[in-house]
Amino acid sequence: MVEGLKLGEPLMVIEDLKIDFLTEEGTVKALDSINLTVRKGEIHGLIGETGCGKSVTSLTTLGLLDDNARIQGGHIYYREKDLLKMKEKKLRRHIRGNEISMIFQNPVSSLNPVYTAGEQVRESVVLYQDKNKKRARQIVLDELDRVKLPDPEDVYEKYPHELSGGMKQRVMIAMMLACNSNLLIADEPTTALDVSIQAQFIKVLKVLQEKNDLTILYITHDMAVVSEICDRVTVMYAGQIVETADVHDLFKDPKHPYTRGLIHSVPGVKTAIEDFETIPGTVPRLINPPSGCRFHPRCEYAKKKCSKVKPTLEGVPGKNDKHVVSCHFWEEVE
Amino acid sequence: MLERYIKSKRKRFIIKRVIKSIPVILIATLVAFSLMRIGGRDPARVILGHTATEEMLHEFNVEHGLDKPYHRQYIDWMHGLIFHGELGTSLRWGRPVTELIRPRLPLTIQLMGLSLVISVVMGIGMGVLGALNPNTWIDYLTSTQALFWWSAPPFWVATIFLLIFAFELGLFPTGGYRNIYYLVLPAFVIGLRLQAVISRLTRSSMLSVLNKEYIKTAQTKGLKKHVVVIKHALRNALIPVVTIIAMYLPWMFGGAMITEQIFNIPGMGRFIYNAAMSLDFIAVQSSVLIITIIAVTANLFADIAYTFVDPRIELGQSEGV
Amino acid sequence: MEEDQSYFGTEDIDIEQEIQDLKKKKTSQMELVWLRFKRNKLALIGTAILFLLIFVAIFAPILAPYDPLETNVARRREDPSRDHWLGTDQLGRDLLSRLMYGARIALFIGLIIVGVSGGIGVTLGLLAGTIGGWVDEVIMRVVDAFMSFPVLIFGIAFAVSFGGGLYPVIMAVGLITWTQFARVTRGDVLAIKQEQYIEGARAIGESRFSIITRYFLPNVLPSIIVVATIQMPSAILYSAALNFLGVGVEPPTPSWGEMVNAGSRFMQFRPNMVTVTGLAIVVTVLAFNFMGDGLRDALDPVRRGGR
Repeated sequence: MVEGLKLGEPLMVIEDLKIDFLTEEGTVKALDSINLTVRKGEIHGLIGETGCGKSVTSLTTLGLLDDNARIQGGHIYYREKDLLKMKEKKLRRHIRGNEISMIFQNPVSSLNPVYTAGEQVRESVVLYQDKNKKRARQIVLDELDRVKLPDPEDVYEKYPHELSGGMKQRVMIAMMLACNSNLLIADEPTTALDVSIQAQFIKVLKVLQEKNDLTILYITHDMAVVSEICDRVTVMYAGQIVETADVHDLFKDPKHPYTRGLIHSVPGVKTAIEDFETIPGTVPRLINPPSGCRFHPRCEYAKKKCSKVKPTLEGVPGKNDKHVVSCHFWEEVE
Repeated sequence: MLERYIKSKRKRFIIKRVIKSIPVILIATLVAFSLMRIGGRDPARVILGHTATEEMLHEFNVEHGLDKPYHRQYIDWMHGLIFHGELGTSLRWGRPVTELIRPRLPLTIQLMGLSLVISVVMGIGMGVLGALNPNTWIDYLTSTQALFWWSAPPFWVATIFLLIFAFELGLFPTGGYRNIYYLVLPAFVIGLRLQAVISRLTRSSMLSVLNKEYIKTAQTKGLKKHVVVIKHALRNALIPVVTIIAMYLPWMFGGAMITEQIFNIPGMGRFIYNAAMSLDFIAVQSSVLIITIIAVTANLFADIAYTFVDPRIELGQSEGV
Repeated sequence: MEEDQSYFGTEDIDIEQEIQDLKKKKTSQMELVWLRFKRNKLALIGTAILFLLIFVAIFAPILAPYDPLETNVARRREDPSRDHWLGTDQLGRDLLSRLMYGARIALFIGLIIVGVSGGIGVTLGLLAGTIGGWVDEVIMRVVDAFMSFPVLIFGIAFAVSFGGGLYPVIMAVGLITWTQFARVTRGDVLAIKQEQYIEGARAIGESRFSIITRYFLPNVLPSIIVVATIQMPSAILYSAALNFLGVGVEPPTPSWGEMVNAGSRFMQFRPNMVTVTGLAIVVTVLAFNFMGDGLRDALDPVRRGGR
């Protein structure tokens, strides 16, 4: 557990992070100076469409980017230390698992097929909690129980291919939680699961946050999930951060045109067909991204300045810098 | 239908697999039998020499049952084999084939075992090195050496090794057999070529495994690099290697024949060569059958081992290809 | 009656254009394969060496400085010199010339072997795949059996029983190494069988033979070519080994395997014959392997790994 850091204080601060990927077809400008702060004890949602750079952000914190990635600038401060400047060895020993852990989108391929679920969770336990294999086994059963797996003893002995998607995902959480990390990054964890399983899953996360003071960075493209469990939300578009706010503020009073588009494009039960809007256009390819504000080609409020100058994050007055927006003309957005 | 009597899925699989081997061995006996008889040459002539008279030739053939019709010879052979474990009497040496093989087979097995060790250690090592450093000089080095040893004919490699390491440098004996050290150089000849196969396979298998998500999961947990590579990646990557090695067993016997010939080692390989050159049908058919049975059994074990090594396979179906 | 009462609507369907487009698509796919192949330096080197080899093999009678059979007892076992660029063998024959003629033999044998084993293998594979049932089972058992036979050992026994010689060696190797052709062909056939157009053809009542030749054969061709590129070097190695062991091509006809054997007898004294002949084999096989690898990578780039 984190000593010395109080709830609400910044745990991880991503500052001006720029990342490119070198590919055969050209340089993909994946992240363009993003800024994000995750505070201790909160569930922070990171929302955006597929390909906007959410996963890249999370992988960068752990130093798990592919070989063709190039970090062009910025910092990731975790408890005062810049993760980007850390050597691989230190990153592995101190950060991965220990401080930050991560669950991935596709549970099918995230678990090693040749070891049982129990063995894999036990690996974490032995590393971070108790070296004794016999005692570790019991701890594993407890962890499996904590994530509400119905028959921990049975699951322990099963191989991943013998478990359902929802169970696999829960094993993943158990495996990462057993590392006793302080920050859990969940990268689209429920995308591959049934809606009903999703609901259970989210409940489990909420309980963990309350009971264990777990900080979670929840990455998704699903607005509904965000509205359910997140405390604060950051919206991302094409490698740029467009808006960050408390969840209520974001949904009640979104300031950025893209955010508004997102929120209004989700049909709620009460939304009439006429009110249902879509955002025209498609997500741009990041090899030759739009200049300035990357959303400008699809934005109905866009003016000349938008294609020339990239907007910076400005605070919405009256919200104590808790609601920030990256748009030149957000005040005019209605 | 077997389900009623034997509950264990794995046991059923093993039984089915063993049963599948029976027709294979049967076919092998037919081929082994016909192998030298199709050519139509008369062993008696070759073995007794050109001073032999018609009478002597005839006597020889009768004595060894070669005058009987083919199907009779085959049945007699099979009968002796199955019910008495007899492999026949050698045409060239006049002694029971079992007696001739007994001291020789273990030697060849030793040779092959040594080759296997060399090739597995080298092959997996090279393959892993290449996969962990793809497209670097390390990778090119390991890939190129694999390609080279794969392309070099074993009989030539054996000859050159004999020249350089035995005759010129004196590091190894120049032939014969007194102890296992005499098998080292020939084992390298076979092993280096086998290693080429293993290293290429290991490399591509490792590369594909290293791209999988569960490797990122392992890294995320904060595991040390060698744990990720060995415990998580290699364990998956080596799964196909077992099967491939079993597939190369027959080839290894061929390699043994050549190296035993060149290094003058009194093993099974050289025995078969001499027997074949003398047209000793009987010795050849039985020896060849023995090694084929060994190869079939090895493949059987490999298939069974595979079910232990990869928990994903369905033991319900019996594999076709 | 002048109106187009087409069931498919009244749009102009330009059949000619569609056919052109489909043809273009096929050629562009092949262009892609060719481009990928071109990028692979090793593959290009291999192909170049092979062309050189084939050239030498075909034009050996013109290129060879000496008659490969002409002996000269006065100049036996010589080191390379200006007269004999690679030296002479144990009977005074020019090594370079013998190597060139040996290339003919090696390539010829390799080609015929691949032809024989390919013919047997593809036929059995097609039968097993298309007919299925117990025919398939039986053929697969035969495949299993033949895969357990050591090629060299069976080969030598078979060849000796014919008294040795060029064609017994070819048959010996060809009759055992067909299994990979059979498996691959069968695999392809089973995959194609699932395709709908096969059902369509049978529904119309096309004869089995016609279905096989018109639909299956063209589609298994790529795989067959790939297997052939793997089998060729292996055939050359096997036949060279059999020549080395003395059961193959009759001396005085030059064969690389036999030359390694002859050269080995005086290799401590003059290693040039053994070395040079061996290298000729290595280079030839390497060239085939480079080309084969390149071909396979070009057809299926996923194999390469890395990025």
